Amino acid sequence: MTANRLLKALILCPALLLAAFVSQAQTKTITGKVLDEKGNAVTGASIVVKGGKSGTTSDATGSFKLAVPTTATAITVSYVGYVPRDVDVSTTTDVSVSLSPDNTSLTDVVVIGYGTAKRKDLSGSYSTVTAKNFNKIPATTPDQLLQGKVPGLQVTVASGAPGSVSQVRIRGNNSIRAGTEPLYVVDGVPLDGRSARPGFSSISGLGAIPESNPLSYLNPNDIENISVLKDASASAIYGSRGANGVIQITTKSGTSGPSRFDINTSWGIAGLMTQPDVLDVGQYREALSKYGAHSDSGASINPFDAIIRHKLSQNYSIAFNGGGTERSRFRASFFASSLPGIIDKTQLDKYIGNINGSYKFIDDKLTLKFGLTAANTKEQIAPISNDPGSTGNLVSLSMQWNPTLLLQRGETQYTVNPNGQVNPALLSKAYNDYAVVTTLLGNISAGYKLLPELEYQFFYGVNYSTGTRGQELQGYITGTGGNADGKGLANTGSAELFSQTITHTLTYSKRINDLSVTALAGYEYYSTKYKSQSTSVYQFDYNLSLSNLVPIHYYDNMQDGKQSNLTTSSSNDPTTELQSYFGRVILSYRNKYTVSASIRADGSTKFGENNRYAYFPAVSGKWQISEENFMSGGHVFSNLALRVGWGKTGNQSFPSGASQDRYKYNSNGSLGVVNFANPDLKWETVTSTNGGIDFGFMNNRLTGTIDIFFKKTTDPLFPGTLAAPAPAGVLWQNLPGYVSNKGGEIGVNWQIIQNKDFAWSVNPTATYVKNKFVFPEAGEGPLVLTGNLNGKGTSATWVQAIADDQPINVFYLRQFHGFDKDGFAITDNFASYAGDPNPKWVVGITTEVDYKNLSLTVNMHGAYDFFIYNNTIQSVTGLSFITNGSNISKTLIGSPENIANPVSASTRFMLSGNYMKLGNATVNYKVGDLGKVVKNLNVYVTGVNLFTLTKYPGFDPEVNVSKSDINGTGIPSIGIDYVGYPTPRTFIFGLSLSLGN
Amino acid sequence: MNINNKFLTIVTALVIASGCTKLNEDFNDSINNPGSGGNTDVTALLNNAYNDMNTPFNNQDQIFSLEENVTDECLVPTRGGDWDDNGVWRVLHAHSWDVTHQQAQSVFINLGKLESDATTVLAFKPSQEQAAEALFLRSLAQFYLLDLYAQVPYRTVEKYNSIDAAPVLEPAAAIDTLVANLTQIIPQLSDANQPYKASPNAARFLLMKVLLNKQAFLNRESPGTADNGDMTQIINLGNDIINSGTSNSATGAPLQFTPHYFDNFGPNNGGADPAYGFGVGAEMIFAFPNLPGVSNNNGRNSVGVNARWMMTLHYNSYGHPGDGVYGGAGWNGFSTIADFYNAFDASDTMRRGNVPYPGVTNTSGLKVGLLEGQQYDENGQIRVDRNGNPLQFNPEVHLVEPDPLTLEDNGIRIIKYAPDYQNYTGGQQGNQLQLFRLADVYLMMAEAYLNQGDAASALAKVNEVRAARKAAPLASLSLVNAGNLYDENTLLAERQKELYWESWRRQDLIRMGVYLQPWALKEADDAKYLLFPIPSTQLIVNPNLTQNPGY
Repeated sequence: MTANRLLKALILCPALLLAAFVSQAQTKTITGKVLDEKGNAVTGASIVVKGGKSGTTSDATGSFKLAVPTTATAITVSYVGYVPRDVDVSTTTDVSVSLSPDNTSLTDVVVIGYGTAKRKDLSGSYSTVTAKNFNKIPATTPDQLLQGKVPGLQVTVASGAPGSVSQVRIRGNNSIRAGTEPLYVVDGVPLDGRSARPGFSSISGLGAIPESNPLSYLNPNDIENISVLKDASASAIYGSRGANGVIQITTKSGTSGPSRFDINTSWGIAGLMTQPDVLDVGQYREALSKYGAHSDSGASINPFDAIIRHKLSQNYSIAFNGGGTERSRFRASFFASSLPGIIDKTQLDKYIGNINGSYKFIDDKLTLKFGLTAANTKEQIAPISNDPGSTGNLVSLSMQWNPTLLLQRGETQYTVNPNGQVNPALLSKAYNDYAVVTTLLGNISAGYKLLPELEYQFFYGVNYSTGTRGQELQGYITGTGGNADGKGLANTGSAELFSQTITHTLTYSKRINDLSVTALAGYEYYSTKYKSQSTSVYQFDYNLSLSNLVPIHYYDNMQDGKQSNLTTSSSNDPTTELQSYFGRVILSYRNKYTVSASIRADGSTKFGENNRYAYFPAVSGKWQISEENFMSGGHVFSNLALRVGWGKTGNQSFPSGASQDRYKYNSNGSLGVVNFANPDLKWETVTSTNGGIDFGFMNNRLTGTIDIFFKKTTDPLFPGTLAAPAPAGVLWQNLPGYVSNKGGEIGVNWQIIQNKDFAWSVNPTATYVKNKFVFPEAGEGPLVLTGNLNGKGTSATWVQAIADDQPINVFYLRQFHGFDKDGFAITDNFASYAGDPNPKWVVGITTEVDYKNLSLTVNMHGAYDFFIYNNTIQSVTGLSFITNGSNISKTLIGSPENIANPVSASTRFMLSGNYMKLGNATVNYKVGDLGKVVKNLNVYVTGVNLFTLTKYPGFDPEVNVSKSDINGTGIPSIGIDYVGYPTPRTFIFGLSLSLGN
Repeated sequence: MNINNKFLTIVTALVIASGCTKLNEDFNDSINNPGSGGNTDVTALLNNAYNDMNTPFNNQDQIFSLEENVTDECLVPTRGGDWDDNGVWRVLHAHSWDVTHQQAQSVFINLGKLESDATTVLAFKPSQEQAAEALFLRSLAQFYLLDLYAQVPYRTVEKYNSIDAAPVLEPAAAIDTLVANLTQIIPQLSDANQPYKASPNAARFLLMKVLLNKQAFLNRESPGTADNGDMTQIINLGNDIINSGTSNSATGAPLQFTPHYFDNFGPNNGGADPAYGFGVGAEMIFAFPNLPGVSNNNGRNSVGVNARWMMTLHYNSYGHPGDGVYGGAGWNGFSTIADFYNAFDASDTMRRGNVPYPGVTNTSGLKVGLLEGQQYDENGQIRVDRNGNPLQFNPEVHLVEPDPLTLEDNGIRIIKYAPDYQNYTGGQQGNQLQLFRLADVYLMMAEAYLNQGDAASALAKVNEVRAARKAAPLASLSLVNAGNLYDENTLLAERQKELYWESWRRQDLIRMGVYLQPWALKEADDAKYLLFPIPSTQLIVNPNLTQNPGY
């Protein structure tokens, strides 16, 4: 089916490949130079004859040369972010053009779903961040470039591991199940959202290694801009995938003008941002004597010294701009980076190549574009899981390790802890884990102008990703528990992800007197497939003792594993297919009144047979008040607009195959039911209503937006318990309740000072969201418990709930009322709803100070009014563990707690997570041009994660570890802190330059 | 036709042509209907149902916990940093749990899964023998749902794959269904299935349990007088088992008492051990199979049975700190109370234990039975706790251990299943998990005789068991002494000594009307604790269920 459809579609492209015609006329040549407000050369500015379409662009020195008809009287000079200028050339052929910045960016072209639009024509809620405003960090993933930059957007980077997953939420948390990430669309290719990195089940007590970020294959230097589609008016065109908002990533394409190499390189070094919350050796000795414990082994060490390392990170990026014209241009880039983590044996190496081009034929009626990204990422992973059992992971073992006990003497002599704790240095040595993921992301499109105002476009996008992984635990380490303890184990696995999109669109744009009309109609087909396999074996013959080591990884030598201990499995998920029809109309009258309406119909193989198609409408309007006559003439407002919008978006983040009877063979000849049919299963719907004001004062030196939004998720998808008797698994169903998110957001950009030599701007953002789940049928008790704790004394302990009239993931805990006279905790007998883990306030602030060629940019972000559960103090560094020769949390010293006090879960460990983090600060020096070849040289120093203002004890209050729920159905949790990968503080030196002439 | 119109035509045709996707879901690695080819793999469906027994019967926090931790023979004290687990263990022994109790929720779901997968087998034209096995498994699930929750949701065979609210059997209807189904399948099952699959003897045993508990199932607060006909049927079924002559297929030996009590649970209980001759594990009527060293067993999953000893052993109970062999593997949890330890008379040492076991004591010093006092290693050296003090299991025990110096050591431990050290670190141990055992048949028959007023026949049956255990015969026997639960001349006390930690104690206490009495670390309590609460998630999805009184 797919192949046929593709074939039919591709027939179009050769048909469109017809010869182009070039016309000649009488000309004169205009030369000139384009400068910015500071007098610096503007590279890549567009220069066209006024009213015409032939033109050129300025080169690296800002110079241009343009042949114009002798009759031409003016040229138009424009550049993104600047006010376009018409320059009179009736009497001169040599001009110097100074452009002034357009603070409102109203002329910006914004990428919207299936097209572009001028910002002034948009009535929905879009935020676009361009490359120059990205966080200046060696980001492994694009979402980190936006942290703190966009009102309504919360990015939580939960782990310090290179390539770790970050959580992205747009205007709150819409859902009670997993799949709350926005839809990512890269150059029109919607991504699947999964990674092809194979996952392995947990190694006994060590836990399961978390997933890695599925977006780490994008080269941050290739990104031109990122648009965040926040309300339904913006995202409803994506239908059943748009409910969590859409993040559209546009990569850089070739610019016209002289060819040029852009080079970026940086080198960095990192250490711990926050020291571990445990006693140092002196404090530990005092605590031993205070509590009558006898574990002083005489030495004085910091166990983290054995696993923390400071290794140089490197980034090299080179991009070649093909020196094309408006009608024919291309860009190629190559990126290589090596990002070592601060924990030994963790690293992310990336090699990414990209090439794209754009060509026009047949009097510019036909446009062909293509883009291809090929990326190879290699990840080295340490045994740092989110869910270790009582054994612990590399971080918890280092926290616990008795600081008076040496870790090792010599190469092969590792101390065996008399209390049975695994030696973290030995664990690090014995554990090896590498994952390699190769990703191809390609697209090709052909657009043809059927009429001057009507364009047809065909688009084909493909995303293929394949990953392999090998993991081993060498046999010489013991005490990790489980079958393989002391025997050695290895896992190998591979996975494959393939998705493709075929889109046909017709776009109609026409201006009729004062009314401009833009209309879109389209059809889209999307499919995605995922399959994986893994093999596991334990009990090897070699490397069972440190005294005789063979340098062969178990996972490269699986045949040595005892074959009766070999298990293998493979799976091939049901294919998901989507078929969609969509349309959109934007009407704008005199730039004052804009109305936009869209609708999408989505059919999905995942939906139950009674609900095959879903419909998602949206409407919005904008009143550009500042264009009204009564606002003209020296009014304080330089821009004022009022926006309102309403719409529905959907979410279909549930597994394929969930709506039908499904049976699967399991091990040992058993045939089990995966699920029984739910023919009514459908998407969940987010209905959002929002209103906003865009404003600008002082000639747009101070601009901003204020929005309020009301979102309601109906038919929320819930992986619920089946009515017993029922087979294994869950019943995916739509609950007759709802989730509401109400709030507001503000973003301000204030150019406080704007002089030739000195400029200062601030850009604060703030978002307030109040989240609630409403489902009275659930009664007063929790509908389901989630937030499973891990570690000692916490089996079957869940601390969060999904419950009626409570925020999603509300903490459900017994209240703690201090200690009794014997030092035992006093708590309520029963749990109650105790606090909200969802930050009500998410804030960010960026400030930039420029002085001549020097600039300082500081980005901070924070979150307020929420709680974190500190599972680490409870289960790793709790007081009672000192009797077992473990180190304990600093925060416990001085409390009246008895060391026999049970480590009960209670509000005692539910702590305020308020924080403000200095995410990054950059000092940049613009050297400028060196000689004829080196242009625009910049050198900079950046500090990342410099410090965090918080009272929270732990590595980082930016916590997002998802823990399983009571039925293991995948209902996420929020804000449970348990011995994750510590946050690195990084210092980077970098330079960027262009080569060209 | 100009070029633009051509394009329009092509585009229109293309969109229409590509718009014909029917959106059928390709499953790739699974199937929509196991009977779609006409030949259904019923054997594989049945294996799946058997495997559903794994979690609820093997795990220490499932049926075992609900049937044992609520009684006077088992508790899990909170020991400082260990075994808090949100209080889940303490509330069981103290009878103060509530609707959120996770174990009660999980067992309900897992029994429902067993019931559902057994019903699915019936929907795909099984042979009579396969249908009988599926009915046995469904009855087993329904028996425990009736016992623990007094409400039995079920699916008819026609509606096996419905996701709607399931109809619910009240106790009387559930008992009728169980009796009818079990009676029907006894002649249809194969003797050769004993002990790992549904056999006639397994069905007879389960039917005896249903009939014996019938009055309690109908009214737990005050069970009615036993029905004479039911008691006669129990005695007949018991005789059928004893006289069946069937051999436990693993050993080749006929069903009979095992000479050494702890061999019923030892690593070799699945087969004949040359050192012991015949009879190792010969009392097995129904057991969950485990093959040493391998993880599958002819279509049945073999699981780690090691929780049965790890849950109770001290961290240092075996192995030596630092030697990496069996080190630190005990979980130091499950214990029993002093009253139970003291209830054994001097002649009953075989069952009380605290005695050496070959292959175990010489490996690690660990003994089997009720462990009290100083613990030793295999060389006779004393073991120490993690504080460095001598490791002595004290009879004294508390729900929350208050003293940092003794919290690791308090509580008598019970090793019924001797660790399989030969396969210890291999993860798959050879101990078969005993579910139905011959000795219980004798004791159930004795109870039936007592209910009929025939104390002499009852005493004879009990003394047969005691003789097999080399304990002195009793002179008299009554059912229960409400003033002393450990009165040795009662059937309740005899059942405890024979069947402790085999998941029968809660049923026995309820059936004999003494479950709400106080015992060590439990006050006299509310009648609501006779039942577990229905999970609130189930009440939402199934309006046919009603929450049990008091929750």
